[in-house]
Amino acid sequence: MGRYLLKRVLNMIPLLILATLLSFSIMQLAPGGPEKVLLAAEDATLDPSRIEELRERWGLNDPIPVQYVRWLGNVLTGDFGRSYFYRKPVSEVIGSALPATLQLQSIALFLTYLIALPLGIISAVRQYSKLDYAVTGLAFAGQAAPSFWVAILLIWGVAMKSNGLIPTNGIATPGVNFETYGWLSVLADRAKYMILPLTVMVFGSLTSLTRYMRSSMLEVLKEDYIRTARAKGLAEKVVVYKHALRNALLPVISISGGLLSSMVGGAVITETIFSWPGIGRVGFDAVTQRDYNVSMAIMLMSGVLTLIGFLLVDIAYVWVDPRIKYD
Amino acid sequence: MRISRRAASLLSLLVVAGLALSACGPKQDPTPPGNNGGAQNEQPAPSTGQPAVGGNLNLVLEKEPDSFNSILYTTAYGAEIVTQLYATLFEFNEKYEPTPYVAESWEMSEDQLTLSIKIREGIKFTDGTDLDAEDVAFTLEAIMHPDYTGARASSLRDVESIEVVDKHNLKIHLKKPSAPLLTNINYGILSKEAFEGYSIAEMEKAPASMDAPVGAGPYKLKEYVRGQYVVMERNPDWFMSEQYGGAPFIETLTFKIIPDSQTALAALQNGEIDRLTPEASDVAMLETQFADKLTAYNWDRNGFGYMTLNNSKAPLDDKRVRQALTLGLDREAIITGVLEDRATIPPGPIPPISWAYDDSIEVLERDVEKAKQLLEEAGFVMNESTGIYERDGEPLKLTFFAGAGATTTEAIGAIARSSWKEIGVDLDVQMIDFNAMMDNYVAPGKFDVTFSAFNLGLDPDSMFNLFHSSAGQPDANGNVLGFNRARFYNDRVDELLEKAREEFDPEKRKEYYSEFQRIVVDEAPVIMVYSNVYTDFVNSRVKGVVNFPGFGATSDYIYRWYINEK
Repeated sequence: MGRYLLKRVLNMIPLLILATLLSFSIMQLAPGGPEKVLLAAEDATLDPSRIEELRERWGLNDPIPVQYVRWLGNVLTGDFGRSYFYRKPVSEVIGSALPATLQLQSIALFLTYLIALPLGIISAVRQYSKLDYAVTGLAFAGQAAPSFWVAILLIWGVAMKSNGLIPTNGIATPGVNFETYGWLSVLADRAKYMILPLTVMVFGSLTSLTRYMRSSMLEVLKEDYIRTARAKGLAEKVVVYKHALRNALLPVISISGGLLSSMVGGAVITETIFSWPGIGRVGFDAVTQRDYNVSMAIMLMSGVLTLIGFLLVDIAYVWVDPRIKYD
Repeated sequence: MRISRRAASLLSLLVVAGLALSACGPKQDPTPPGNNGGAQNEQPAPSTGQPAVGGNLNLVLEKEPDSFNSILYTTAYGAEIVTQLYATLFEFNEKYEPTPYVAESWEMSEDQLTLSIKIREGIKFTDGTDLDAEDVAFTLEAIMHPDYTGARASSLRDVESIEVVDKHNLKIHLKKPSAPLLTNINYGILSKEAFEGYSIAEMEKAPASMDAPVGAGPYKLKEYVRGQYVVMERNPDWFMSEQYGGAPFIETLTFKIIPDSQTALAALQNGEIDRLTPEASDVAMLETQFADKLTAYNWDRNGFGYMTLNNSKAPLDDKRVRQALTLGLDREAIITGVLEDRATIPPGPIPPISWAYDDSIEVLERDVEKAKQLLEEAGFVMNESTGIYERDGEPLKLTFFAGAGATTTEAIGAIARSSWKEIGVDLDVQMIDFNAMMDNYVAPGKFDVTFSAFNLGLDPDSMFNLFHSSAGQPDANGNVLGFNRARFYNDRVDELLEKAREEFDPEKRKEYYSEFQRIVVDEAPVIMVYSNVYTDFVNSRVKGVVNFPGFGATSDYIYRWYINEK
């Protein structure tokens, strides 16, 4: 197992290099550059020589491989560079957005699993029951309704009718912090801002998980060993939750590999509509503003986390299914 | 300045010519609120109460502000904050004439090459230090410094040097006379002391550029939480306070970052924000359903959306073809169909709200017959089977490029296609990524027609950037990076724009601009499509709101707004 892990980790390095090299080149090949976005206001049009000056100063005129190696070298020493747009170190720009995203995404994720797995199990156990149809209907509605539409519906239908109880947007009331208020009122303040974005995110991601859980459970329930368990006279609860569930979880785990990276990737649409100051918005703006260093740092981060996520999936397999062994 | 925010959101980032100028001004005449007649129209206040200090005003920023440094920021979001933080040399009244602010008085030398400025005495920065001539010189010299990393170097291109005479006097020496000088040097004054220990190249790293800005404006920074909000509080020691009867009145300003326009609209209706300029399509709804809650301020945009015609490429190198397209375009349909009737057709390149507008210029009505006649004069023959004009067997087919994703532009493309079809011109409408369009088609001149927008600054000199041949000269790679993408080269226009730039007598300047406008209208290098009529909605609890010509309920006058009354 140890050797396997080491091999897996070492394999990640060339993969990461390939992924970052690709995204670095694509970013650079896109028309327009940070200097044009920054100077567009005035100088770029009045005095085009300034564009060249800035490109030269920032090293943007060097060949892409040279720039990539320089970027990689800096990253290895922990320097992610400077945001052209915000005139600040990239680590500061990302560091201030990441906590907001993690906060929202981790709770959303937790709730999604908490709701989706039991729903999937129930609709499998009671296949073709009214409950199964209801769950299926809900799941497909979640998938079919675009998140921006649900979000706006909630703003107009819930927030604006709540007499200020549920805010339309934002993450916290200005001035409400731990220094001046008790922790309970601060938590209550944060919670009321989270209700709508969480609803949108959980509603939208229920579908696939519920459906996976349901179909995998259905599959397992038809297996011989389940029939054996039942034949032994085990209680249905034990059959479902002890024998079937563990086996049915395998496919669900394998689709969870991308979760870690999607957690930091943020949700651009939800974050934008609810004015949630997360990483999704920062990343989206970085790409449109050609803020190369910021977008590269985010891509690198989600690349690393994707790989780690799938590594964890492989480890989790061993834990769930004793038949699987690595060496 | 909010006008630039709007431009940035509507038209990507290329069109904000007046940003540097408008960012810090226009400021108003030093007269008490409500006493100004003329173009400024203040809403009748529901009560006769006198303004009193207090209250909180909620405002919206669409995106994160980039910098709080008055010479480094580039976005309209940064401008909103910078406007409150810093004092500038001059204010501008509703006729866009300079009035005293940090500069108490000023005088231009006979040869028009030296501007002497007297700095008001007793001005304090918010950190308690003095604002004097050294700070003014520091701010301007930083922009002129070769290591300067911001985007304003060219605004000071005519300045030779800055001489500090004594603590309260300085002289600005010019390379050549420059009529728009006062708008060009009007930046928020930075504190020299606050940047001690930082080179000009490293200026952005100083705390005074972001976390701890030091200015002498009506408000100071209280709290900034990235991605969420900026809270500013009243500067009780503002040096203009006495002159404006104790202004600023509102105790705190909370700028909330709300990127989605539908969310912002909901927040306005819900009373969570106090001011918004909604999309044209939402104006009527707000006016009727929220009349008791919101006050509407209508204003004409000091700029326009326009079609750039490629004057260097056949068949648009022929003036008659350009005129025909202008006469053939159904601009009424665009304004009614796309802009909900909240726009007007600009008569010429200078909007009627400007002092430089020549009122003998009238809007050209659509005239299909005359357009066809002009095309025939240019040697085109109608092909009856296709309904398209031809010359030497080549059909009159044009390509229209526009940035994808902007619904207004897409609709304009569709209307242009159908209305030019009626005059026998076939238009191919291409919607592609904005940057790709600029780099691959517009800059290298591989287009016939494209659409963009332009905002004038406080001074009509901004016409120079749009129509002077120097702004349309291709670089070594054949790309035009200036605003004159029409590649319009007219010697007389060049001459007039140059003369107007160096002429200080307003009457003479106006004459130059009049002739310029007449030539542009006749030559038709571009087609002026619309000039928006915007509506700002402000929560009715806020009083003293100034509706400034060309800029609306702009943040520049928030120091005059008030919520509480005595």
